[in-house]
Amino acid sequence: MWNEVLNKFLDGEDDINNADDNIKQEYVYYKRIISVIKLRTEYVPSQEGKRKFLNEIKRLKIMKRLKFVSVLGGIAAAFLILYFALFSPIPNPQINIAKKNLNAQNVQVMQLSEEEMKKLENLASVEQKEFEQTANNLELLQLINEGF
Amino acid sequence: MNKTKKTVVKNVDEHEFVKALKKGENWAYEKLYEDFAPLVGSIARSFLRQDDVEDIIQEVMIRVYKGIKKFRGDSKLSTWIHRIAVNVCKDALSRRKRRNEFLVSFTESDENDDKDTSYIAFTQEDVISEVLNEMNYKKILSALEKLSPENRLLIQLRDIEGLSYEEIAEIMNKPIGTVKSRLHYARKKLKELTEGGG
Repeated sequence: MWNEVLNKFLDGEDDINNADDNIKQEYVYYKRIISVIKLRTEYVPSQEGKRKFLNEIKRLKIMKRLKFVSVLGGIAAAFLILYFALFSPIPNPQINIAKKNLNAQNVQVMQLSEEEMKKLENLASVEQKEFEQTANNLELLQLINEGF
Repeated sequence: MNKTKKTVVKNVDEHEFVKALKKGENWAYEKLYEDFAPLVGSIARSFLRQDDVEDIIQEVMIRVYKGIKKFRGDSKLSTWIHRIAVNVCKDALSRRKRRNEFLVSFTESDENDDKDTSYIAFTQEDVISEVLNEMNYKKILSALEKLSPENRLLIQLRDIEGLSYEEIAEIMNKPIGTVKSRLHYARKKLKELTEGGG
């Protein structure tokens, strides 16, 4: 019972001056216990601790900035690489090699197949025969003219 | 320049202070340490029953720095920092328990040691006992030792720092009713222990 009543005074719900003597005595006793505990737990932080904390904050800030700068640098580098890969005016040796390969392929395409070659040879031999015949005819005409 | 800032620092309102912390301004972090390190230190001393709490303070302050961007201002800054402090203390306590369990399993000779002669180093003992001669100072400290970390924390937050039940409920992530009843129990237990009971 005393506990409930005392708690009301300790919590400031009632004015201690309105309490009876027993409660007042208990109240004072408890307050003394608290004052001893307060003295026991009171803590005065050192200047060294403060300096250590502020240095740590400084270090963390620098780390944060470094992290930010490195991320930003990484992104910029990625963009540059992408840009030069896509829009670079500098001739790319690999592209030249590819072009050479393409030309070689075209040359191969220009080369005629065996069958076509035979056709061409046949055509040439026919033409040659006609040419020879014409030449013979001309030679005959020349002989006629010379009084054959 | 620095001097004017230092005089302004004391009167800056919480909204501006949080804004400066989010921007990472140096004066704000100086103020943060000056204002909250004693508070965090007291909580850690009370919760962990150890004198050297510098590492705990550092960890809390770094967590504040790393988490301040996520702080939306739904609660007071001090409540938020209290909550971080309590979490860091809980982590430290569980780490210490694990370490102690590990050590106990390897040192049989420690088994018979008095477990109650624990972590407190009585740096101010002589001074305080002179001032409060009529009270049994050692008995109070012994009673404090016997209280659970949660009960010590409740007494610390309510009776020493004077936080409201709402704030304590938010810090400890518990309903107000639970906080109230547990605090009442802790007070009763503390009183009984100082009177030689419990």
